[in-house]
Amino acid sequence: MGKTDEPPDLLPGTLDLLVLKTLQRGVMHGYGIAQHLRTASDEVVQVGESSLYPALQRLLLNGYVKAEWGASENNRRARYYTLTAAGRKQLASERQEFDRLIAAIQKVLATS
Amino acid sequence: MIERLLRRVRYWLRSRREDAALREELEFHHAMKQQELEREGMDARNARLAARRDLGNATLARETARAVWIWPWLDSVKQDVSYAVRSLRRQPGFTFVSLIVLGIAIGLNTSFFTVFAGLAIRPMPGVADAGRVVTVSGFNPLVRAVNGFSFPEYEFLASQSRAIAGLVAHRPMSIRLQTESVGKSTGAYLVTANYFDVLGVRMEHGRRFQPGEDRRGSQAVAILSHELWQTRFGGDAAIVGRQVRVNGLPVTVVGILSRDFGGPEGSASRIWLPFSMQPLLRPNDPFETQMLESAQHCCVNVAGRLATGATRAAAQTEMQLLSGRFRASAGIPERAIAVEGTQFLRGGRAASGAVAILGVLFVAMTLVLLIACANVGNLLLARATARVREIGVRLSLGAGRGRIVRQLLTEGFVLALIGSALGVLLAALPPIVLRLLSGDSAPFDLKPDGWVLGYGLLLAVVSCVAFALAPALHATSGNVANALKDDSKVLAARFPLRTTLLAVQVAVSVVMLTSAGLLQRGVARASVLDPGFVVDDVSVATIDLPDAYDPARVVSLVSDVTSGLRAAKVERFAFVTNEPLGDNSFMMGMRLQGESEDRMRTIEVVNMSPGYFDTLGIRLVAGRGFDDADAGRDVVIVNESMARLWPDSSALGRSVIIARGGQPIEIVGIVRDSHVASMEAIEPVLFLPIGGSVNVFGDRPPKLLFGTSDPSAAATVAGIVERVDKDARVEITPMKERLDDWLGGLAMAPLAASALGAFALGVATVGMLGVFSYVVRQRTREIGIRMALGARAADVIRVVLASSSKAVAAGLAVGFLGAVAASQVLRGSLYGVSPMDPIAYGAVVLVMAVAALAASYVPVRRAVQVDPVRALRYD
Repeated sequence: MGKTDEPPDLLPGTLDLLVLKTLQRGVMHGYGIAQHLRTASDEVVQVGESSLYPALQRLLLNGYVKAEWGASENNRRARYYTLTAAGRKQLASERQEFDRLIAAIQKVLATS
Repeated sequence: MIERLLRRVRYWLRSRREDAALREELEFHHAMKQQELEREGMDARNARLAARRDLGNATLARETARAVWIWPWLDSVKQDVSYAVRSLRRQPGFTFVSLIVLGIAIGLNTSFFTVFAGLAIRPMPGVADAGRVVTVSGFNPLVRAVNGFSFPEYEFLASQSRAIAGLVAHRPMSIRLQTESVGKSTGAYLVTANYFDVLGVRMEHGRRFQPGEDRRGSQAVAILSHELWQTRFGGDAAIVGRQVRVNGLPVTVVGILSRDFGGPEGSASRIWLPFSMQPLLRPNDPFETQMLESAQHCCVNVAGRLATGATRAAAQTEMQLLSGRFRASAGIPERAIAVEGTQFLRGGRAASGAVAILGVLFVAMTLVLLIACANVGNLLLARATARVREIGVRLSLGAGRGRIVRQLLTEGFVLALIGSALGVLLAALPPIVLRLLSGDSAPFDLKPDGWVLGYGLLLAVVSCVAFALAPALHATSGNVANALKDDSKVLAARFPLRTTLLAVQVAVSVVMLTSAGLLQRGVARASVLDPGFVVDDVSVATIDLPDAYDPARVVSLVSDVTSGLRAAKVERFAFVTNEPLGDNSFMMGMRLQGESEDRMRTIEVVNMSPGYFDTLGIRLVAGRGFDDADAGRDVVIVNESMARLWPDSSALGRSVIIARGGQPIEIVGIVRDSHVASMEAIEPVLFLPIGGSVNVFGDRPPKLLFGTSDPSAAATVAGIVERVDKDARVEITPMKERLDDWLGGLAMAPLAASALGAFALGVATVGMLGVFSYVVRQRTREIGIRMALGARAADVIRVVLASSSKAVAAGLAVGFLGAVAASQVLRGSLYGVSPMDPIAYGAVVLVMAVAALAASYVPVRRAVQVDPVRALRYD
C-alpha cells in the first residue's frame, strides 16, 4: 500500500528516504520539505502534495517522524515534523540499502 | 507492530479531526506556494489560480493519505454501513416490521441456545477451574447405560491414579431430615471427605469436610446446600455447629455451601454427608450396609480433577487400565470407561429423552428463523424492486454489480445485527424464568455469555445471507436499460423468488401449526384418557415420620392404622409405596424363572396392602387378590402386560426372580392393565405385599390411599394416623388434583408449540399480505385495462390471486409433508391420537384458509376499486 503513490520518476522507497534525510536538518513543515527537496536537487525532484503528504502519513504511521502544530514564519498554523529515534535508525539503514542499490545499478551500467 | 496498530486505531477513532488537520495542512501548503509565486513576480490573481490548479491533487492527496492509515475496504464498509443505516431510517415501517420479526425469531433461537449451552456446554457451576474437572463412568453394554463404580473400585482408582489428582465419589440417596418434631423426606448426597476440596466449592458458612471424616466410626457431620439451608433453616447461620437428625441419627452441621454450587444433578436442595454415614442410615438393608465393602455392588458416581499436565485422553487410558486391573482381581468383567466433562447433559443423561427434546426444539427454532428470514427476504425484495431505478442509475454510473450487492448485503447485515442484538437481550430471560421456577441454585448454569453472544452473531450472519443475498443478487441482475425504464416487471418475471419465499413461509407455518394442533389433540385425548383406575373419590395421604423405619415397624404401623380405619368404617383404603400419578417410582431388576442372569430387565415394583385393587377399582382377571395373611409373604400379582411375557400359557403359577440372587416368587393373580405406573404407555408392573423379602419401603414415607365420597373422611384418616404414631404428619391430596397437575404439566408442550405456531402464522399472513399488495401495485395498469374492457370484479380478483395461489398451494403441500414427518417424532406425546389425525390437519387447513383470506382482503378490495381512467393515466 502506498508505494504506487510515489512520483513515477523516483525509485520505490526513495521519497521516504529523501524526506527522512531532509528532516535530519531539523524541524520542518510539509511545504518546507518540498522546498528543500526542490532546491537541494537543483529543481530535479519536484514533489507534489499528492505524494508528499501520503509519504508523511506513512512515516507517521511507522513512527519514524512525529508531528506538532506550531506557528509558521508568516504566523499561520503549520504542522511541523520531527525525526524520531526510530526514524534516524530507519534513515541509516535505508541509506545503506540505497547506496548498495545505486552502486549495483552503476556497476550494471558500466559494463559495455 | 502492535504500536503501528495502536496508532492506526487512534487515527481511526479521531479520523474526522485527522482529516481536518490534513486539509488545513494542504491549505497552508497552497498559501505558501501562492506567496512564493507572488514573490517571484506573478500577480496575485495568477498566483492564486496557479496554486489552485493543484487543488485536484489536494483531494487525491487527502484520499491517499487516508488510505495509508485506513485500509480502503474498511473505509468503504464504514460508508456502506452508514448508508445502510440512513436508508433504513428513511423507511421506518419496513425497518420496524423486519426488526420485530427478526428480533423475535433470533430471540427465540438465542434463548434456546442459552438453555442448550447451560445444559450441554457449560461445566458445573460453582466449581473452581471447572474445565479441569472430569466425570468418570463405566458403560454397561447390557442395558446400554452409563453408571458408576462400586465403592471399593473407586477406592482402588483413587489410590492408584496419577492422571487424576483428586478423585471424589458421590452417591445420591433419600433420607429423612428431622428438624424440631417433623421429619421430612429430603435428598442427600453421600460423598468422600475430599469432595469439596477437590472441586474447590466455596462455603457460605462453616467448613468443608476434613480428611478422615468419611472413615467409619468418625464423628457424624453434615453440610447443607444453600437451598436447603434457606428453605428448611430460614438461612440462619447459627445452624452451623448444631445438631439435626438424619434418619433418626444425630448429625452436626459443620458448613453451608455457596449458592453458586447446585450439586451434580437433580434438585439443589440437599444435605451432604460423608460416606461414613452410609452403613448407619439404613441399618436393616443389607445392600446399604455392605455397600462400602462389596466390589459387586453398584454404584457411586466418580469425578476428579486432572493432574497438572494430564489430558482427558490420558486420564481415560489410565482409568480404563486401572479399572480393568481391579475388575480382573475381583472377578468381574471389564467394561468401557468414559471420562467426560461436567456439563449437565452427558453420558446417561445425554442419551436420555432430554437430547431428543432439545433436538425437536432446535428444529422448531430453526424453522422459526427460516420463516422470519423468508419474510424479511420478501420485504427486502419488494424494497429492492422499488429501488430498481436507484440501482439502475448506480449501475449505469459505473458501480460494479459486486459493489451494489455488497451495499444491499450490508443493509441486510445491519438489520440482522440489530435483530440479533434484540435477540440476545431476549436470551437474558431464561435464567430469570429458571430462577423463578427453581429457586437459587441449579446443577447447571444458564446465563447469556460469550457463547450466547457468539451464537447471536452467527445467527445474524446466517440469517443475513438467508434473507438478503438472494434479493440483492436478484435486484442487480436486470440490465441497466431495463432498470432505467422502470420496467420492474422484467425483474419480477425472471425467477419466482418472491413466490418461493412465500411458499416457504406457508410451509413452515403449516408444519408448526399441525404439530401444535396434534399436541393439543394429544392433551385433549389425555384428559379423557381412562387411567384404568378410579380417580374421582380417591385421595392420597402422605405420612411423614421423623425417622427411618424398618420393615417390622412399617408392618405394625400398617396394621394399627388398618384397624383404626376399619373401626372408623372407612371402606376402601390401602397402603402403598408409590401411588398412581405420584412423584416416585421404584424400578428393580427382574427375570423370569428359567432365564439366565443377563436377561434381567428393570420393572416397576409396587408394595401394597390388600385393599389396593379394590380402592382403585382395578379388576382381577385371573387368580386371586391379596388378603391380610399375605403380609410378609413372597407372592406377586402382575398386570396383563407382565403376564404377556409368557405368550403361550398363563402366567398364573409361574415365578419371577427379583434382583440378583433373589428367590423365585410365585404369581398368584393377574390384574387388568392400568396406568398406575405411568400415564404414557402401560408397562409391566409387579405388585407385592408389604413386609416380604422384596421391599421398597424404608426410605420414603408410605402413602395411604382411601376411597370415600365423604368430605369429612380426610380429617378422620389424618386423625387416626396421628393417633397411632404421634410423630406422624399427614398431608392429603385428592387423586383428581394429581391428575389435573399432570394434565397441567402436559399442557406446556402444546402451549409452547401453539405460541411458535401463532408467530409463524402471523409472519406468514403478513408475508402473504405483502405479496398480494405488491401484485396489485405492480399490475394496477393491467387491471385498469381489463376493467375498461369490461372485466368483472371476479376476473380482477382472479388476476390478483392467481399469481400467488400456486405458491400458497405448493407451500401447503410441502408443509403437510413436513407435518407428517413431524407427527412421527411427536408420536410419543399424542396419547393415542393418530399422527394423521384428520381434525388437526383439517383445523390447520381452515386456519390457513382464513389467514389467506384475511391477507388478501385489503389488496383485493384495492384491486376492484381501481379506477380504469386513473389507472391508465398512471405514469
